[in-house]
Parts: sequence; structure tokens; C-alpha cells
Amino acid sequence: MTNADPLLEAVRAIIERVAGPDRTPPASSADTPLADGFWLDSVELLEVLVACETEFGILLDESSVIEAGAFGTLGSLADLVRFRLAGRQP
Amino acid sequence: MSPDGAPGARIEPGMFRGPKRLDPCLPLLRRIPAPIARSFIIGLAIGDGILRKDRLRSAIAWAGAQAEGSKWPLAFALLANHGRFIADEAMIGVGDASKWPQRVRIEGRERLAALSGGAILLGFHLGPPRTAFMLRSLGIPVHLTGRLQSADRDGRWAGALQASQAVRLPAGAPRGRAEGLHHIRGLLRRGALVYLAADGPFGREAFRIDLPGGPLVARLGWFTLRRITGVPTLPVLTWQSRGGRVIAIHPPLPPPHPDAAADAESCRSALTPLVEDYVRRFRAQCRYLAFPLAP
Repeated sequence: MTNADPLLEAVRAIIERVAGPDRTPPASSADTPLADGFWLDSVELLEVLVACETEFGILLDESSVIEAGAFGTLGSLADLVRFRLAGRQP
Repeated sequence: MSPDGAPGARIEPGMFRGPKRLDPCLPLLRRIPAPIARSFIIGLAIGDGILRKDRLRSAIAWAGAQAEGSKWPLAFALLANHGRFIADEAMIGVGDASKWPQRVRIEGRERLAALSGGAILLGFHLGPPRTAFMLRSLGIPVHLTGRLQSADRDGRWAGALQASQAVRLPAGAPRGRAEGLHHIRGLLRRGALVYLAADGPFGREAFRIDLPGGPLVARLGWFTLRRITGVPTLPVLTWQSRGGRVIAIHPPLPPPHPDAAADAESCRSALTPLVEDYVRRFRAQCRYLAFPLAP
């Protein structure tokens, strides 16, 4: 499923790159859980985070990741990236 | 099911795993002289192995696969050492985590002094437990990581856990473990020394070291952190000798290779002789190779 939000789509593409297309659910949305929807394990979650940092040229520090619940859903991770890109705290 | 919750091989339901089963007995065991309490736990571990035949069978099978020695004495030595190490985990005879009474010698400490930033101390489920605690008690400011369940059950460890800013990696919880791994990454980037287990019951396999009787399976957690951060990774092996406990800090693994598969092979090649040598010298202390740690 294509999301209207280009940033959400970019993060989804990163996840697909890390986990592989077979693990990407056909109907993912902002609410799709990363662990129970994309079936990412802890190492893959970390790899996705690092890939987001590299791709978008941002730093996602520990406290902001926890506060934003960035490992929760596709949307929460994309929102954190969005806030960092905007130079604001979540 | 997430690989974080994937069980390890050869799980024995209801097996005698450690201090948790001893919890109700601990107040009594701590009131009696420590040598007697330790002997009781060793006897319990041997008796448990005999009563639960799978455990003894695993020990005999593993012992029989070793190149030297008779399998029966080695099998019972494995069970006895399991008891000794459980007593260590339960801190029998230890009043306070900061006053660890055993004689501990560190080999290769100069390698820590040579570090200029963050580093991973890569431990193994081989030999006696509590290596990271002991390093801290000897003045090495290492951060503890892992499930830390047995430490949770003993209030005397609370101070040590707090002081070490221990990072918990909860079992079967990808999100919580990912937050823990991310925290460790931050610590390493800020120049910290972090103790991580190479092997264990959780996580996907990075590579395996084939050994007589069964492999040692290295997991992806430490391997990925090493690749992401590029920090030096120093293998640490611990054994019990007649003179006390020895913690050997080995030279760092080769720097990460850009290709993950080549990197895994590079780590495997560097670790194999260390682990093979350990198993050859301290067979009776390799309890979790004989009966792998259950999740």
C-alpha cells in the first residue's frame, strides 16, 4: 500500500531494505507496529534506526527515541524523523 | 514469533536453572557456614542431574564427545561445577557485591589502559558467572548488560546495578531490547566500556564455532553494535583455578569489515582458537555447552 506521506513512505522503504520485501506487510500504515507488524527483531529495529539517521542526516538520541516511542509503529518512527528534520524536539 | 523470543536448542522444561529455584532456601543457606551451603547446592545440582535423566544424559553425551578423559568423571564434574557456579550466582558466602571475597586475577588488564574510547568487553557463557560484577569490584568501570534476572532477585546487587548504569535487555521483548541496544550504542559512542555476552539463548545467530559435543552460537546483538559503532571488541574469558578466579582480557577482534558475512567470518576466525583452547583446558567448566542455557 502506498502512503500519501512521502516521509512515511521513505521510512517504510528503509524498513523494507533492512528486513527484506518478504517481511513487509502488503497493507502497512502509520499504525503498523514495527515489531508485531513488520516482524522486526531488536537488532533489526536498531538497524532501521541507524539507517534512518544515515539516510536523513539526523541523530536520534536515546531519550528522544524512548520518549517518542519510536520503536512502536511506523508512524511514531516517521514522526520522530520528521521532528528531527524540522530541528524540533518531539 | 520474533527471533528475540526464539528458544535456544535443547531446552529442558523444568530444569534446575539457577538461583530462582533456590530463592525459598536462600535465607537458610546464608545462615549456615558458606562451605556447607555451597556443598549443599553442589549436591543439589548433581542430584538434580541424576533425577532428571536428560540433564545427566546431556552431560555424558557432551563429555563423551571430548577428545580426552573418561566421560563419567567429566559429566559429574560438569554437574558439580554447575552447582558451584549457581552458589556463586546466589552469592553464598558473599556479604556485599563490592567485597567479593574470592581471589581474582586479571590477565591482559593493560589492554584496557590502551583504549582511547568506548569498547565492548565480549564475555561468554563459559566458566564461572558474574565476570562483569567482578571487573567492577576490581575498579574497572564496565557497564553491565543483559536480562540481569538473577541479580534482580538479590537486593545486594541493587547498588552494583545502579552504579554500573546497567542496561537491561528484557527477554522476548523486541522493543525493550532495541531500546537497550540503542542505549548501549550511545554509551559506546560516549566512550564507555560495556560488557556484552557473545552467546546466550536470545537473538539471531551471527555465526557459530563448532566444538566437540556441540557449537557455541554467537548472537547478533554484540556483533551489530560492534559494526555500527566500530569500537574495539575485546574477548573476555573467565575460569576458576586452584588459586582463585582468572579473568583473561584478550586482544581486540579485527576491525569491522564492510561486508557483514566477511566480518562474521573474521570474528569467527579470531574467536575460534580462543574458545577451542578454553574448552580444551577447562572442559568441566563448560556447563552451558553441555546443557545450553534456556531462555
